[in-house]
Formats: sequence, C-alpha cells, structure tokens
Amino acid sequence: MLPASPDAVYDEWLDPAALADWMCPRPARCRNVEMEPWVGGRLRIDISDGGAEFWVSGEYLVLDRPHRLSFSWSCSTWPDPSLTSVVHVFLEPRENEQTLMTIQHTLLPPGLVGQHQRGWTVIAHQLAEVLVTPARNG
Amino acid sequence: MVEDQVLDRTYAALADPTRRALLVALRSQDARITDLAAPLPMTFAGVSRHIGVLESAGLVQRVVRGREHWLSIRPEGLATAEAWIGEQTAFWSARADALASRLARKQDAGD
Repeated sequence: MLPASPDAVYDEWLDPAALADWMCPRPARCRNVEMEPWVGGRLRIDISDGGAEFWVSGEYLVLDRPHRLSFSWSCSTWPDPSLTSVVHVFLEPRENEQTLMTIQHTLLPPGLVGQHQRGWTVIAHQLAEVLVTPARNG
Repeated sequence: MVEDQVLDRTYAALADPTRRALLVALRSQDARITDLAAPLPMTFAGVSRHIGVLESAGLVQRVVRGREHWLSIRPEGLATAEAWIGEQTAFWSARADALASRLARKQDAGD
C-alpha cells in the first residue's frame, strides 16, 4: 500500500528523476535513465550496484493513467540477450489517498513476446500448486 | 542469472494440467507409467509422452528395475524456476519499499 493517490504513483513511474531515486535503492545507484514515456517508447536504466555495472531496458506496452502500465524488461546480466519479460503495474485507489500497487513480472519463453498474459505469472501459480502438495516422507 | 533453455523447458512442462497432476502424484510416491496412467482418461502412450516432456525438463527421473521403469520426482528440477521467481520477487519488493519511503517523505514535506 502506498501513501499517495494512483495519479501521484503513476507520476513516479514516468518521471526519470523520480525513477532514478527509487528504482535504485542504496547502495545501488542509477547512473542514467533514458525514458520515452509513450507506448512504443524506450526505457533504459544504467545501474551500478556493489561494483557491478549493468543495465535494464524495455519498451512501454500499455500506458493507462492512472490505472496501469506495462513494459517489456530485459536485463544485461541475463545470458540470453533475446530473453524478455513483461512487467505489469496495476494501481488501485484505496481510502485516505492511498494506492494498492500490484507488480506482476512475467518471464516469456522465446516466441511469446506478443502474448503478455501468459508466461511465468501463470507458472508461478502452478509452481505453488505443485510445491504445496506435501512430498512423501523418506 | 537466468538459464533460458532450462526455464523454457520447465515452463513447457508446467503449462499443462496433466503434467502438473503427474508431478503431484509422483510427489507422494515413485510410480510406473502404468500406475500413473490408470486414473487418467488417457492411453499409456499419451502418459508416456507427457512423462517424456517432464524428463526433458529435468523434473522427473527414471530408474529401470528389471523390465519396469520407475519414475520419481527430481527435486532440483524446479530450482531454476524458483530461483528466477525469487530473484524478481526480491527485486520488486525492494523497489516497492523504496517507492513507499519516497512517497512518505514527500508527504511529510507537505509536497
């Protein structure tokens, strides 16, 4: 739960200076933020964290102020540069000028970039289903 | 780190309800394909094919005892998928906390 209205939270996602502040909590530092805040626009953040330098990049897929934003997400530390994931951010208003923010991060198998609803969010559910069943003893 | 091929195969294996049911059954006890096929409305060949996918994904392993093939869960199989999910959960939790702190500071500053 966040202490601000959905509109204010939405602003935090699409303001490069704001993003640099909270996307890299200490000791990480955002070295550079490039943002094109429109559908199809690019996002790139250069990050240094504990001596490692890497970047994350993506493209804005859905921008629905103040309810939702979705963007693709790829990280330079991943061994396969073509691997991509999708991040969905849902913002719901709550009483007293608060917002419930839900972040859904989906890893897409190659070839499924267009199908944002599938992927690892579905699997996380199913993984949980498999894991909560008690394993046999011994 | 993401081992993309491993994740891809794990994804394919878990994306099917029959395969998930087979994994749940094997978590209780090792079984032969005939044992697994019995409660399912599916041929032996059909179940065998699903087991093949689970084996390729490293989720189950097979031991041959005499003429019988016994299948068991391979617990390390879900480790890569769990690790990726864990990494991303930790990543976003930390960012969401940082955003909450930032918004609280702005509020206190009367912004």
